[in-house]
Amino acid sequence: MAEKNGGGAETFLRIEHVSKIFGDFRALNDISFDIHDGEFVCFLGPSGCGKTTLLRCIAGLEFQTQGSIHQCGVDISWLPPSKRDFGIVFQSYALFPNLTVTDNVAYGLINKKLAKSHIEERVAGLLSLVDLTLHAHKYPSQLSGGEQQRVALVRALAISPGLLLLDEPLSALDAKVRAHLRREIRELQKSLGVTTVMVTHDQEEAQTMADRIFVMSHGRLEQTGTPNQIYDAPASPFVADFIGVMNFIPVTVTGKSRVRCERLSLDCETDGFAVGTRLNGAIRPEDIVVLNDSEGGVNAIDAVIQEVEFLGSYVRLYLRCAEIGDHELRADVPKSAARRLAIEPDRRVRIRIPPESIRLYRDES
Amino acid sequence: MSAVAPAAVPARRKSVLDVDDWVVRGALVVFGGFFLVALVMPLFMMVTRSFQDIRGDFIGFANYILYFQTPALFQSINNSLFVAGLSTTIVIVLAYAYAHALTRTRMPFKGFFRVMAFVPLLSPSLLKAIALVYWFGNQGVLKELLMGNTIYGPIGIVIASVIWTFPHAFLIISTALSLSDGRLYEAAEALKTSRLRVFFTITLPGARYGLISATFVVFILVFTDFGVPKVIGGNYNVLATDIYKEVVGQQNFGMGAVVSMVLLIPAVLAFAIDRFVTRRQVALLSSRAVPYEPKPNRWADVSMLVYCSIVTILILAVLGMAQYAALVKLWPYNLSLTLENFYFEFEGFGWSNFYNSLILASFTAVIGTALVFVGAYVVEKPRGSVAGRQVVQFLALLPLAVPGLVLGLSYIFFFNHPANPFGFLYGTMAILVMSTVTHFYTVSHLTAATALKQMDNEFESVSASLKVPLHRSFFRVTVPVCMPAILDISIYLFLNAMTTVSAMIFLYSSTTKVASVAAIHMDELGEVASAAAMAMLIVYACITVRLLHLLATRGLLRRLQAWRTRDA
Repeated sequence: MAEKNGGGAETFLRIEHVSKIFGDFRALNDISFDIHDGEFVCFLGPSGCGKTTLLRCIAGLEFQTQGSIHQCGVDISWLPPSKRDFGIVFQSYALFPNLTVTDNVAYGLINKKLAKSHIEERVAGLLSLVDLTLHAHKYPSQLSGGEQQRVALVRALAISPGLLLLDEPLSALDAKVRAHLRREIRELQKSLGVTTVMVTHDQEEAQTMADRIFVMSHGRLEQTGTPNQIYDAPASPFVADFIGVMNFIPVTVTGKSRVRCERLSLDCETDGFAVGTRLNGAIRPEDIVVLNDSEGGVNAIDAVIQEVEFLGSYVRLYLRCAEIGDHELRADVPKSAARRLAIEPDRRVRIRIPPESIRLYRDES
Repeated sequence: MSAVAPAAVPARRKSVLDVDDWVVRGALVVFGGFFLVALVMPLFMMVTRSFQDIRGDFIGFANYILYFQTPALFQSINNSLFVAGLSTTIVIVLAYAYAHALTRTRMPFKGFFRVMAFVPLLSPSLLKAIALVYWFGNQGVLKELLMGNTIYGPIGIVIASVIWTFPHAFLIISTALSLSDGRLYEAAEALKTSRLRVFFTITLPGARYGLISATFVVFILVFTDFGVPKVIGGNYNVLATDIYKEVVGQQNFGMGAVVSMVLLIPAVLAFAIDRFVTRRQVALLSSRAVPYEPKPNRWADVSMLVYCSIVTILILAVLGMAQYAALVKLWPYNLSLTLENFYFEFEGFGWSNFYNSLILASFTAVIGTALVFVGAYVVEKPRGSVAGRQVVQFLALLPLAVPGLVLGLSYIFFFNHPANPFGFLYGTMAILVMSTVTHFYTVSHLTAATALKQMDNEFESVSASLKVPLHRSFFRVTVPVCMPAILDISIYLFLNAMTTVSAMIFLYSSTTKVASVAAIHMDELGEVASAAAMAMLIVYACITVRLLHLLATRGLLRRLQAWRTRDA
């Protein structure tokens, strides 16, 4: 199967105005989007944002209250799961405990009335694909979590579904296994070209695996875009805060390309906001530059280091600036730079906030 | 693939149903129908009948007025409440201490004592009463211990009731006590809490719901029991024996229905309160709880060993005396041993009664288990049909609130009605099976539901995504995984079908009379030794089946061990 990825491809799954209401609770609120053929999409959001409900609607395990779902141009909105075309992997794996790995993987094949030899061949092929050939005759309880997850994955893929649904497939695993499986799943998905939707609350997982991320919050779709787009140009303070780390400071527009926070005036792109508008200014910690004492320039300010956190390859500084009052800023500095600048608590430093790194959002509160 | 979906939002319509949905709907209809015929309609008929006179004409509350104006009948309510209340108090204390010994001390021989606690389950309640007659009756061995009081009456009813309800109370309380979080005790110890305070602030609150549940269960068991007061009650009338006298003795079905209502209402109330209270028990024990490990305490361990030994000796003394009674030629004049009591050579009795019991118990176990498990599965697992599943679930819980005698009498009213198309069932083995399955449905259902709840909820979703029909997954995965629970349900149904009297006493025919009913009748005729012998046959069968069950479970678990152990 040819590799087909990302934009420009044909629409595979189309969700239109889907809402789901449980009693008084709106789990999904008028959601619409298209997913292209062969794409890997992540629904990302905090727990309770509706991402799992949306996945279950796509699978037919729940029915939307309103709206429609089309797969390959066919209206599947009201079809039961057995009449839809998908494979699914759950967080709990849901492997049948009384069946061996082989029988689990063959579970959906036997029903297709294929020749026994054909089934055996296919199961063996699938197991070797995920390096489980040696475990073929074991029971699920004899496997590690990561191995069980791989069995669940090939069991779902065995029937060659057009759509693969992954419901928090990695969250029950420890960090190392998770990182390894991320790549394995991604490579498998690419080589098979199967359109995939994964639900996760782990932004790192979404960023490393997805072609496109759909950020959700309170039953709404907050933003869709490639991992880079989502990170570099978050469409709302929620997305900005949820993806990565973000400093927020309240600002007021004071002129064209000029804002003020407390007593501090900063240069930044004001995107046509009127003078006097109160906004949220967002700055990524890694965009803040710690300068040598003598350096100056645009948006350079004095700060005192409150605390230093070592985070492996970089150092996170908690900074206070007299001019912006109580608002603390976080700045990430590579370890080498930290050493060079003799970073330590209580030290005064000069920092610079590049104008292009400040993003402005309407105050939502 | 150029076809793009139309942009317009389609109007809301019903989801398409697949085969599985229809299977589930069909099953729900079947179960609804079963409960309608086996429970709801008969009870409805009984309620109706309580407002009718002997000829079947409507007379309003006349029966009730007559009932409450007849001191002899009305007195039975007091008597029933008294023996039930006293028996419950005693058995809860005894069972709590016994359960405490098994869960909270380092007493030796715990396994043995646990098995002994369940011995009374292997025989009908009337057998305990017969044994007491041999111990304390007019010609009893230890008659003097009663100091001039008679065993025939409240004393005998209470003692026999305590013995036969002991396993029920013990099971519930020991389950509650074993579900304790050891970390609470460690925290209390770290805070230097006194033992007494630990008991009142941790142990008792933790076991609270178990105690409440056990209290209600035992109270209802004694309150509605027929076998014990029939054999040892003497002139001391209780509601259960009143129903029997009104219906069998005087053929006064209307009044029988009234007494049944008087018996049914407290039972339903107790059931409702118990459900309400235990519903609040959720999440008392978090999944991260650490089981409590008792520490050695010489004084406590020894005193509990003594206590449990005494209880065990009493339990065995009752069974032993029953066995002895069954073998003695002519108590108390000729104590030579004989097997003559097992010949049952009088009109209307015989080994056929015992064979009937075996047939009844086997059918009840097989049909009942299949019915209960499929019913619990349909209620617990599939998607959709929410309303239907809730109705069936409610109906499955209802039988626990209906005393066996009431169920039996209701069946007479319903199945013996000339206009009933199911009338052909009357007097057959089928109606005995149906009533027994219904009578013991709830506990079996809860066992099955618990086992099913422990299974991953997504098995059905995975199967649907793999296009495997529901019934296939049911047989390939659900049934094998739940096999231990299925065996437990079948043995529960078998033992209860062997030992129950209450519903049978109204529903047997000359060809379907079962051993427990035969024992009651022989006792009534004064053939007490034969009654004991007949009841002992039940015990032998129960022990045999219990051992077979043990072997089957062991073998099964060994076979299933492969997918339960972690190491390869």
